[in-house]
Amino acid sequence: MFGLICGAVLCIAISFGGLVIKRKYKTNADFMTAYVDFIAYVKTEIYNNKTPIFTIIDNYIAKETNIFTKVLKVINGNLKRDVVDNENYPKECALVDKKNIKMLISDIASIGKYDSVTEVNKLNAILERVKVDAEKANVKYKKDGVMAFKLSVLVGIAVMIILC
Amino acid sequence: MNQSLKKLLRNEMVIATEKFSDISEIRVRCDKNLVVYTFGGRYVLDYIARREDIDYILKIATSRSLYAFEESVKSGFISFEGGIRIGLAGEAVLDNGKLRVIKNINAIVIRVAKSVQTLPIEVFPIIDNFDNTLILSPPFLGKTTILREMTRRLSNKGNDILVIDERNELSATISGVQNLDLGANTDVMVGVPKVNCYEGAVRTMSPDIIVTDEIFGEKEVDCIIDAVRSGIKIMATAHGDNIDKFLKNKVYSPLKDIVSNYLLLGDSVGKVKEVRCNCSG
Repeated sequence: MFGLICGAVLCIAISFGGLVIKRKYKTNADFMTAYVDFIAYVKTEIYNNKTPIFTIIDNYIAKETNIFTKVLKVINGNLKRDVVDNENYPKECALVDKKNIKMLISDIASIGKYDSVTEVNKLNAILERVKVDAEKANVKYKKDGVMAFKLSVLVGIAVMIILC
Repeated sequence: MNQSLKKLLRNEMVIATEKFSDISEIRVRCDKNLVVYTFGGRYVLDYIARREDIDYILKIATSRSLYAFEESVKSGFISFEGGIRIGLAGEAVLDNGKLRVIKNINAIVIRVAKSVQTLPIEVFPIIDNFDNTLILSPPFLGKTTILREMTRRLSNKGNDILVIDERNELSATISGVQNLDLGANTDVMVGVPKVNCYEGAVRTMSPDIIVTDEIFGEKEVDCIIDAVRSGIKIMATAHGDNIDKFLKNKVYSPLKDIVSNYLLLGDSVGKVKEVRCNCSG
């Protein structure tokens, strides 16, 4: 009986670990999808209206609330104070890869130094790169994330059976 | 130091310039000594301006969005809050023979607009019985400042005024908001080439007075004469150190027939050297 209880607890713990891994992949895939949407939005705003970058970001943040806009809000606040990164992100952003955040900061910081034609050309290149990264993140989520979860459940069940 | 100016400069530059309380101009040249103009004189500082100083000024002045100011950059300047105008020099990038942008900006002139609400006593008769007026002055003696204050007073007296502010020096408009007071009845056209503006202004805005800074060239003189012919009064400034000499210039001589009042500034900032006023009052 004791073995069964221990096995069940371990099974739940291992499955939960798998769930967290899956969530991390999902968060990054969603982050990258929003990243693509954001860069496309910035490009349109600069191309059509030459809107200043801070206004573009403020308007984008006002449109919706998700992990991406939460990260964006912190980056925007930092840039307004001329701080590149103080890593002061909300707790729920912990699952986002630091590498993706650094890439976003670097992309935003690179905007605004040239005329609109150059900026739009540059944003096209960024958009292509981010689209590829978003696609990779989605594939990774569907393959690795889901697999990690399934595997953890299987391992959990196996552990439970062994302990019984 | 002016708060807007302070915002524009890196800490090291603020420290270097903070002993001057009445800065009217700062010249920042890459790898050269910083030069400060006050109304008292010109000072070359020990501080050597660096590329970072220029980049920082541009970053702050454009809110990290140089593209949003590209039309203004093409004209060689950017306006900043508090009536600050930033003149730019660098390498021109041409596209089909037209200036696309100025890149590698390596010299910046920060000019601080001064809004004073006092006027030399000689100016009052002109305001009381206003007619077409021309303010002449060599550079840097305050003609724009006097023009701005005269505009404010004439506007507050109930005249509908249209200011054609091509270089945004009179109103210091940022995002549609005038940073310098031009009076209650003043409309401002900012950034439009002046000669393109007169006809539209006469037809659509029908002001009592058109105000413009630094008239230049035959085309603008023709526009002014047309506007006056339409019954609109004009108040303008021009570079010059002698009224007769100015009117002998064949470009500006047609103004003789329409301008009633002349104000010549000279000797020191804001000081009236000569007034020719056909005021009836």
